[in-house]
Amino acid sequence: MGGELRGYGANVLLVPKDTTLQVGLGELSFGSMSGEGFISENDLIQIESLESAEHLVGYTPYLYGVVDVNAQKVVLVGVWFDSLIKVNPSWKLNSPKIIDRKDVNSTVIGSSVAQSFGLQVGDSFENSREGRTYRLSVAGILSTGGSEDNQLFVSLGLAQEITGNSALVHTVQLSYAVGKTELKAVAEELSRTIPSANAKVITQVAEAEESFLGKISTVTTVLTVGVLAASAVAVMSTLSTIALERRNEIGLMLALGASSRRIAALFFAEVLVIGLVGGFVGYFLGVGLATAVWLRIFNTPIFPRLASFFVVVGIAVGVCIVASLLPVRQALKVTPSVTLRGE
Amino acid sequence: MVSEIVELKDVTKIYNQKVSALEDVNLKVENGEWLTVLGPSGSGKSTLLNIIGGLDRPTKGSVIVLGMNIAKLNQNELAKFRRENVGFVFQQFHLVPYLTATENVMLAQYFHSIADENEARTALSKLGLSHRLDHLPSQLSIGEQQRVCIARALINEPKLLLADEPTGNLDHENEQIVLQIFKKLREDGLTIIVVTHNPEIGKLGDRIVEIVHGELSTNFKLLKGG
Repeated sequence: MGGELRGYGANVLLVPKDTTLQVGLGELSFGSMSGEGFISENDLIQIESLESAEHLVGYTPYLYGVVDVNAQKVVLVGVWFDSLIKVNPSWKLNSPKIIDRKDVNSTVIGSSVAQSFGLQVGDSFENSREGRTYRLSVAGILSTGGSEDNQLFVSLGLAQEITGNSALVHTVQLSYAVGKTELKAVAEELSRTIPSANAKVITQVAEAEESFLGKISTVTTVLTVGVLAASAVAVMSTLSTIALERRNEIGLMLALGASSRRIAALFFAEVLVIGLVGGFVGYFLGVGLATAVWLRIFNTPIFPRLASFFVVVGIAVGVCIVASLLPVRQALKVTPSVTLRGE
Repeated sequence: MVSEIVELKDVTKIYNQKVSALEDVNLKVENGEWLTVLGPSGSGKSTLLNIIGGLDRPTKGSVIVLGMNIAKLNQNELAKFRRENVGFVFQQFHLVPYLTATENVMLAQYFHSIADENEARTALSKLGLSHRLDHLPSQLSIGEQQRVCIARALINEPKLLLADEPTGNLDHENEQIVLQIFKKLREDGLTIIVVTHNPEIGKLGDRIVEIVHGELSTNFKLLKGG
């Protein structure tokens, strides 16, 4: 479920190492001065080679600048388009296709920007900075409900060219499918490995996730136990009825020389089939329902795991077998001479 | 081969510690003999048959069948005894309604050893049911259902055939068909015990015993062998 909760957005942020310099002469201090900090883009490649990379959902660098559009100042953000939605799957991007991260002619504009300048997907417009003009085609309109609605997203390469910050980024947003405790270890590993950056856990997101996960886990555990108990009772009652209806048949089998073990095996084989079919159908119905609910509530899809299929089918079969123990025992108590008389 | 295939010694059966179904019954059945047990309803003749077939246990006494005292066998041993030695023919046929005639016969094979469809079809064909092999019991006449029941009883080549009112539900024509089958089986050397309230059936067998209120009548009639 943690993976699905990554719809909350990035949970780790890379920021430049402290760029504050102490200015002084000998014992005389003139105070401190700080400059604009950057992370080297070349360092980012290491993120994918770390141990924590197996839990990495996605990451994207951010490079900010300001450009003029129709004589108005607009915040320009350089990103990797293809990773942007991976990191923030709940963002609504109205785009006919995923834009390549190296595409320097396209832009994704925030919904407020689109409204202000009357732009739609497919339109072109110009922006300028320090006397240079760039013509961009609107490839998508982004709606987040946040500050992104007022921004202009372009490929990182183009943003670096426009702002004159070659191979540099301001921040990196990373999304990991792990809990709060593990996130701290991930951040420490990132800080150690990437020389130009400090990694910080976005605590609010991590805590919200953990709290939500805890509540959901409790609710689902209670629900699961309840559903399993109800299923067991239903299976038990159904099998008891079957055993009662088949008293004559069981009596006949015994008269024909069937051993108790053989009759029990026949019942259990039937139960096994019921469990397998029930588990199979239940799994796909459950996944369908969960996907629909999750999409509606969180606007992100869920990713069913193959292992959970086997767990669900295994539990379904297990519940059926356990619930059938009593009815099968009842069935084997049949006295053939009595049932064959029709009593 | 023992000459006495069945020997009952002082067999008593009391239900619920108060209803006496059989009282000190002593009976011997020779190998290859057709014995008819006559008696009115409630006389204890079905109880006697069930005890000989290992479907029920006596309250007292010994039941020696094929040299084994089956009164002392446990449930699994009794099941083995039944599937290897006894074929049952019931008045109500007790065919499984959702299985075809062939499958009903194969059911007995399945519990005995290996289900063999060809063998089951041959057994049914021998009883004149070659045109009814794939029919469900509900698609068969009463007489045909009883013949399926007989085929099922014979498919594992039992040493003892036990029939409880085998013609009780049949019309005269079908009764004659079934009795002719029994007569042929008797000629082939199969030991048959039939319980019935119809004295006419007894005439086809070797010997008749009567049972009244759970006691065998000493005044039974000995007939000529079939």
